[in-house]
Amino acid sequence: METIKVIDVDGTQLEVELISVFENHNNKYLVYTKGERQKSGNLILYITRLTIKDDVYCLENITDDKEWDEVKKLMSRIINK
Amino acid sequence: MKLSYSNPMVTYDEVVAAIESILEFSLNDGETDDVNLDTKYETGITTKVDTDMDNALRGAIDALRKAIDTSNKVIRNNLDRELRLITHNVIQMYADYTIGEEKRKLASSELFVERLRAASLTLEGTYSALKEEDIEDTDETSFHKLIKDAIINFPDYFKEELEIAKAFEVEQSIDVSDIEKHEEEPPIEEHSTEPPIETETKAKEEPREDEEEDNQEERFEVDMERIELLRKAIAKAEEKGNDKLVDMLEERLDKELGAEK
Repeated sequence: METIKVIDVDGTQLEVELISVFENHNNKYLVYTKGERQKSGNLILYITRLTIKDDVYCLENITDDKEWDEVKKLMSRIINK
Repeated sequence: MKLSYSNPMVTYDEVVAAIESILEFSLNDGETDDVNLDTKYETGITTKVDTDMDNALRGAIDALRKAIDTSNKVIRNNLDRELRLITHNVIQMYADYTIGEEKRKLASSELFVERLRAASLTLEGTYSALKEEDIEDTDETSFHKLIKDAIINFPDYFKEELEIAKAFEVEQSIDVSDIEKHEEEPPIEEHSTEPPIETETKAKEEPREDEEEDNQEERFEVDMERIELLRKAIAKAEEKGNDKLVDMLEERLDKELGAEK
């Protein structure tokens, strides 16, 4: 298990588990979890676009529907390999 | 809604709805063992509902209900018992299927995570710097480092924090050079017992009056610049509600103001 530390929008430092990093059309995406589970037991995953600004990694929300569709397709290809 | 099993005067759909509702509630709470169904159906091996059995049970319940409605009390009691047995079969079938579905969903979710993990690229470069020892300390130096070297931040927060960090950097560089400058200067010993080796050299070291004034003015400007930077950083930290940073900066500011006086 690989953990990373992030600072959330409130300035709170969180330790999260890094699940995966993958690339699509020169964009990198990062999947992580805070260890939360749905009542059914499913692990809650977060996915964000990973960018580098001033030599620092930043997480950005995926807000574009087209991009999100592409990311879902890519994830689907990964898990169905 | 009461469990339909205890009340035979129900439709087939009501039985199914009730069992699904109870199972869903129970599964979501992770308490399948607490479902009181007389028999436990937790194998979850049924991957789909047997449609033939489903139709047969549906027909049987409908027929029994009609018969019960038109029967006398003695026959009705017997039919009620029969209806309970059939209802029990429905419960068994759906319980197994519903629990199985939940288990399969969970397994598939775990598989999804595992495959994503296996296919992961590695984060290169500065990522490795984000280790416990780098950010566990909360003293001023490491806090500065945390902001400066923070690897992952949410963008909006990061933008503000970067400005504060930059203000710190400027402030720190002034501070450090200022200290170094003072440290390099030999202390002035007014009551030195050592005889002067060369009077001429000593005279050279003594600053001229106007030069001393210039230095004082320069130091005052540097102090004011540092204080101004600290004030800006405090305002930004307050905007973000970062109390810890505010406290730290205010402490620094107090020191600076004390030194200025």
